[in-house]
Amino acid sequence: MPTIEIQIDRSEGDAHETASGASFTYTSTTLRCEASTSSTTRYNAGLWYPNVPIPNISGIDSVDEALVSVVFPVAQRDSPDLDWKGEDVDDSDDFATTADVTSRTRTTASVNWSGTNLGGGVFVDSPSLVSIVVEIITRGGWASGNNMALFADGENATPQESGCRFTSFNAVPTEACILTIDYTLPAPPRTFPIVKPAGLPNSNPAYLLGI
Amino acid sequence: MAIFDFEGYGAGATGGEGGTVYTVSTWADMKTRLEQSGARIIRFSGDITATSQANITNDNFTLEVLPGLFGQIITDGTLIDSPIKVACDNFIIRRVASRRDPSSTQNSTGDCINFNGASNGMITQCSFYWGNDECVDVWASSSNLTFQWCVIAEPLADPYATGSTALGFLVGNNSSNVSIHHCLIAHYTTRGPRFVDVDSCEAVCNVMYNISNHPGQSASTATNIDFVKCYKVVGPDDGSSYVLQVDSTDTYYTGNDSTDVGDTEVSGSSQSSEASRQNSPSTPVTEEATAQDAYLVVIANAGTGDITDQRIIQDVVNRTGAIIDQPEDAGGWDDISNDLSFKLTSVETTTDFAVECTNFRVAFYEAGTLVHTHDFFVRYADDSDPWANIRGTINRFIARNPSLVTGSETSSLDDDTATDTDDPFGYLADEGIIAMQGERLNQVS
Repeated sequence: MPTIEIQIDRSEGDAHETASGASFTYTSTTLRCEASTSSTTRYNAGLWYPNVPIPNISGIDSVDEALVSVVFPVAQRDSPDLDWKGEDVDDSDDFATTADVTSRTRTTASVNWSGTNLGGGVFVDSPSLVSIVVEIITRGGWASGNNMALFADGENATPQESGCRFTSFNAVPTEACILTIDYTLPAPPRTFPIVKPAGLPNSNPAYLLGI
Repeated sequence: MAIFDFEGYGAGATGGEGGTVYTVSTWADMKTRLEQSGARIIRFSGDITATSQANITNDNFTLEVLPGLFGQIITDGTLIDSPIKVACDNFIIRRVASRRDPSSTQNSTGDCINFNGASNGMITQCSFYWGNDECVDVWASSSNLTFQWCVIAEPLADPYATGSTALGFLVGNNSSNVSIHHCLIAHYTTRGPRFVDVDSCEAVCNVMYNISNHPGQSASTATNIDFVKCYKVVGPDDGSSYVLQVDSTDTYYTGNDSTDVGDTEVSGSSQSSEASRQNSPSTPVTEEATAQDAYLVVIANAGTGDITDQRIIQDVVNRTGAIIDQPEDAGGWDDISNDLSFKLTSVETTTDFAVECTNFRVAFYEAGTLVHTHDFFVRYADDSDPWANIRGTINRFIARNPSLVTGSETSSLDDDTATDTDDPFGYLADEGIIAMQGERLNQVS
């Protein structure tokens, strides 16, 4: 059961926008994903993970766990009331290439996250997002190394406590959101044959490494 | 045989088995324990700076690095001799790195380790760099020794600007019954190894990289020599068109190969191979199917697994690096206190180990027993504190899998800035629960 852990590693890797399609930015120091009954103050956050090395669902046995670890800024807005979704495409654009969070196509799969005062300044795990990840990698065009985007869409509801924000890459890179996926590969063969293809020189390092 | 089981002429060594166990942290203490009498096991981790030579004449010792950690012996620039001179019977040296500082005084005796009349010894998974003379010197009627799964690299070519040396590994002066197998010998001019004035020695499934003159040698005064399935990898300083220089008429060679298809297997004044193996130790060395297969298993498994060995292995795979004059030419001593307890293997796809690691495996131990291994792919946003990154990954993994830890204490890896019971490797011996240890991928079963 290998584990993939990918942290957002660039400014255009995370962004937010209101549910009404305003106030888009990927340079803010917080990612707003706050609930509100008004679409102009309800926020959706987007997280973009490039080159995710999980094969298409046809090439694995199962996705055993998938979650996002986030850091709530200290002493503010650590009470999520939101729905996690994924972008329902084969290969997502970062938020500079496509300057949009709210209008991107969502997965059918959705996972609610509701909690209060979960604590600031440390990584907190989301609920399991396995259904979302499975839906994305089940797409016919998904392949290992494609880019994956996830969204934290604020609920259409009165915010709990003081709402919810995530620390962004622009604020503290080491506290940027981390995507974790545990998955199981089919059982490998016990050994691999080392067969030198005809005509391939001995100096070919790929052959020597058996790759 | 499991991969690191003792093989060859030194396989019978028991070292300090059953003796007193000492954990040392200073050279003075290490030297005292090495030199004292009685069966003894000396363990250490981290850097230890040798300021004098430990001349070991009392039998029955084991020198090894604490499980799950890395350790290296360095010299302080004043030591002319080898930091360790073994002149006793029955010893084991395991997962130890000895990396010299060239002495401020010009000399010709500054090996990384010296065996002088030593007998019945096993040297396994060790790492020897930056010898002034050879990196490893076996001398003065030493006998029944095995060197296995070691990295011997970057003997210094010309630290005093007086002429080139860069000698790898010498076995000579009436020594006998020496096995050298599955070792990586890299960035040298000659002697990888050289057998001279010896009897009954074998070099099996070694990898020799970036050699400007003779890769492996049997001198005319060597008898009963075997070179079997050793592999020469051509590097930037390559200066030979053969794998072996054979001047002994009593040498058997077979299956030795090179990455350069134009290279011949042997050169030298006596090129006729004996008809069959000359050596048959009671625990024979496991041979791979071919020299290329030996290359695979050696680059995946030789050495201590620390960051310095990783660099050399990347050199071999990428055909980079060079014969050097000073350690600083290759970046000098790595701070192994910041080494992470895992081993990278897919080095071609790893751009920066601190940011992105493809295929590293963490082995979880409980009370010394392997309870789980897990493979990770990780990519972090920042490489300023790699240990914090990897600690976070492991802690999150443990949090998701609490059943891995059955002890009653905390299950998280500790910060590396606290006390010695909260050590930088996240080795939780103090809590008796779990340890991290580098685990080798790509093992060929």
